[in-house]
Amino acid sequence: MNTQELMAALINNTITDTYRLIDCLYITCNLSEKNRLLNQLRRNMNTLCRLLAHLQEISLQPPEAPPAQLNALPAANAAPVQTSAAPPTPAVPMQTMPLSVRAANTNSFLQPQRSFTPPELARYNGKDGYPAFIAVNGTVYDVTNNPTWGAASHFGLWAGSDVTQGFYSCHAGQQVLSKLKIVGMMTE
Amino acid sequence: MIDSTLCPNYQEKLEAASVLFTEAANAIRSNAIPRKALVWLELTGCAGNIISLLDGANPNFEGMITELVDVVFDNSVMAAQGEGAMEKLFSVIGQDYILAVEGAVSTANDGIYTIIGNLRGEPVSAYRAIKELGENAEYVISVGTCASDGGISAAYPNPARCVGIQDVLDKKVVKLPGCPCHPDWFLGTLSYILLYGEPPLDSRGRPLLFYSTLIHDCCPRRPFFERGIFASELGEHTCMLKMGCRGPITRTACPVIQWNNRTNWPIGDNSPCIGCAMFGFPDQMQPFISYHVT
Repeated sequence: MNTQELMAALINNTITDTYRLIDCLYITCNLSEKNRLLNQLRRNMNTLCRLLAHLQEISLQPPEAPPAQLNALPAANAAPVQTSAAPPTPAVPMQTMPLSVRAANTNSFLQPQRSFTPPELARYNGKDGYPAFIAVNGTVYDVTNNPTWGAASHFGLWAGSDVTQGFYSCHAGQQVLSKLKIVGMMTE
Repeated sequence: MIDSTLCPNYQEKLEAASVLFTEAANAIRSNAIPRKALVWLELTGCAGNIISLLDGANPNFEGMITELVDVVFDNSVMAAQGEGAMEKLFSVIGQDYILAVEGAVSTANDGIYTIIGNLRGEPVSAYRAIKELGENAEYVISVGTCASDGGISAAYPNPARCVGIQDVLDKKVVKLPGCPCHPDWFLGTLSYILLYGEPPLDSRGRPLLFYSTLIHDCCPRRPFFERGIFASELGEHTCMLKMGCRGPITRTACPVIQWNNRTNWPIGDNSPCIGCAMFGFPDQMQPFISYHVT
């Protein structure tokens, strides 16, 4: 199976699972179970975004150049060689992509879409229905159900704030951030 | 409750201290290893750790003093008092002894805020005691969170400038945090030291024997956590993460060994874990209880 076939199979599986989750949500009355299913649904959407981003990256890679003709010199009256290539056509047309993906920076669909100012981030303190968000190095992460963030706090650090300094004082060099869900970026 | 015959992790945590104690006691009885002197210092603390040790069960305090070590000094249980007790304390310097310390060290104003006794008319500060006894000990064990990391004695605003004993000693300290330290952790570590020397320690100086897996990993309420079923009030029998439970960051076996001769433990009594055995307790483990968390 080549890369595109593999990608197609992954997308198909994710979409199938998403329909299953939606069917379960119709009949679920228990709030905790509903939240669990919604979390899985969100993970599936993130997976689909990543797969689309990979597809976009693959389609933007320049085609392989033909081997150079080492023995042939350009003719004296030959037209100058075009040094700037025409922009490549994306494999997946932009208009068919989901709105959330189109809104992102077209160089990388993995970049989060929401932006937060410090006062906006402060609202997401994990209390009274607001999720618990933290900022590290300008990236905003969701730690709402993270077990190490009981009561939306962690070793004296509080959700709704920039915890970059606290993070690096303890977790520098550790694979911690890659396990957290990104929800946005900080702006001034 | 997990059937201990099915889970080796559970079995190991339940029996580690008693197995080590029995092994050490047998080795001492057969003269395979020497019986050492133990000095127990109470510094800037509440003396909760000696109380906890006295409540030990299998192994217990009686077994420690009759089969494991010669307790040279412990101001809560020794018969000597006053200058005589202080003379006994400082007489061990120059001999082989194991030093167990509970309570932090107050350092402000030359340590005047904790005086543990008088010797030849001079007050003996906690700072002087730990410096002289600590640097000359064969092994130093900090018993409880205050001695290990400052703990409650060093809580904000810390007017006496209390610190953990490793901050004032060059000698390596084996740390046994806990508020208090469980008797199993101390007696198990002491037994290991007598048998084999310094136990394998983690990056914070805690024996991996007793400070490895998280409370969260052995918590009987873990199935509720996995299903996102969280308690919103005290008294509910579901996961208390949203109320501020620190089980997911606390590396002790409280769910298995429990307290007061396996009677109960905080979560078993519907109270969230407050992370008392973690560095940063109490300030960084706050809030101990929280409501309306998403």
